[in-house]
Amino acid sequence: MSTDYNKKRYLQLLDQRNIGDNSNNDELSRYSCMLTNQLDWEIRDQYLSLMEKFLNGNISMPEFFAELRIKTYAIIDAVIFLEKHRILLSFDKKASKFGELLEDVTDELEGDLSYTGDGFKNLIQENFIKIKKYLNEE
Amino acid sequence: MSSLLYYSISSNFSKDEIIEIDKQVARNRQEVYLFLTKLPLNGKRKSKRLFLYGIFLFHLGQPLCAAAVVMSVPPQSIHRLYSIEGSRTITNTRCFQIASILSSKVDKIRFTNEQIKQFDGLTRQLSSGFITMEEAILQLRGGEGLTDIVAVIAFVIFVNCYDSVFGVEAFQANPLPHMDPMGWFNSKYERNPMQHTSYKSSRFELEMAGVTDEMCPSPEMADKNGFVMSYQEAYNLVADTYPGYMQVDESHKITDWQAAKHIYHANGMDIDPADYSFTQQDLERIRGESRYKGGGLIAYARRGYRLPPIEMVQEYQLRLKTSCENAPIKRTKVPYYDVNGAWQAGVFATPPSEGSSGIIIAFNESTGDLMTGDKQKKPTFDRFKNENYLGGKKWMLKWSNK
Repeated sequence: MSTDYNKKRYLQLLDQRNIGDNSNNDELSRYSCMLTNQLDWEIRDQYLSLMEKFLNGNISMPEFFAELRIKTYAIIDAVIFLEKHRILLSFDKKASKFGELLEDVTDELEGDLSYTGDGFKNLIQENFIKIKKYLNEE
Repeated sequence: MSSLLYYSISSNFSKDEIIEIDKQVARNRQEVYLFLTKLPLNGKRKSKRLFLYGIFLFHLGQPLCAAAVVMSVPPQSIHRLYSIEGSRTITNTRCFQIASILSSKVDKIRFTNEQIKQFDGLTRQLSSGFITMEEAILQLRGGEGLTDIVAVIAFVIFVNCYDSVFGVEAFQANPLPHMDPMGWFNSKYERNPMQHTSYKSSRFELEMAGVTDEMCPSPEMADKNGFVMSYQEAYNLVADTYPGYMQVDESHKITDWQAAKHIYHANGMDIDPADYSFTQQDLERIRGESRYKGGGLIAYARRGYRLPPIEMVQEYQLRLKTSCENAPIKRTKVPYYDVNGAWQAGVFATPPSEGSSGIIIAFNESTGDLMTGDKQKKPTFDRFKNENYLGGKKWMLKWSNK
């Protein structure tokens, strides 16, 4: 669990936002990011499986992006739902770093895809290895 | 759907046989009449029915003598026992009259010159935009300007013949223009010039729209790569399909083309692709595929994929525009990084709130046109909000020399 994670404080910030008090928005944003990372962490096996399927040629690039985008939307919606209903999760200490590593993949959901040759495949492979390595760390 | 609606009469038939046939025809006409008049205009399947009507009308616009039905009775000269006026009161089976004898071909239904004029007039009005498809259908349904029974018969002929001639696939919800007569009727494919006339001639803007020379291989290459149409054909198709734009404010607009190019974000703006018979995977193909060189709409069209319908694109545009108008954060000159480099963007952003996600919509500051518009994960939104850039972090590090 993250050291600076405080459920009571998180709830308090959500209540503040709900009544239009945005004075602590930055602090609330940090909590929301943690919740997002935690949800990504919960489905880390799915992300890895998706990347693996693409690298093995079992799915195409559009299939890969479709599934990745749908997962991303699901995470966004889940955060909204959990915060709205004040359902807060406990955090894994590895979730934040995992979220950062995953960003290099999910960033590809935006922008042009003008990769040449195996450029995109190499990018996914590179990130797959990084994430795997991180997950195998103590 | 096959019904005996008109018939030939042999001179050998007895009077009783003729009356019996006539009654059967009247019953059939009534059923078809009720079928058509009960078509709901506001139902969920309205668009599909409109499409059917559109194709129907399209074919009516073709040489009408081509419409024919072979009847089951022996070939003889054609008599019409049912008057046109009688068809308006079709339930009254006692209104039989002897119509004038047409010296027509054997076993063929022929439209009268007056009916042909009526159809031609309607289709001309429709294609020239004087009336809408809904108004045309109202005329068909109400009998104003057209004789109901003629419409019914032609419709039945059309439905009977269409599958065998064109195949079921022709009825797909979002056909390509060459399979979309309704689109032609609605002037969907007529080129409406952009209000800013330099749009299509600007190389920079074409490049921003994903049009590059690299995507224009020789015809030999096109075959090898599985392209089904030339670059120019694909360009014309896309340009004709997405001719307009939606103005957001004085500096920003969302062209149909750019909105269509980024339609894979539509789901994030609460548009379900399934409502337009697309999957997310279908839409992702617009971005490009590993085995094809180049992304964007031109390459997508060249590969023969179905273009997202303009209605879907317009819904996406409208949601983006609404979001822009209500966005509390508006910034200019925000760096946008991707694999190709850095661009300056004007950004409209809505932070996440209780019950709704954060949305970022970016416009290219050079063209004023859409670059992206979608809901975002919280860390991505914060990156924009706190570090003031969009796009991948690695691209930011690469292109900003950090």
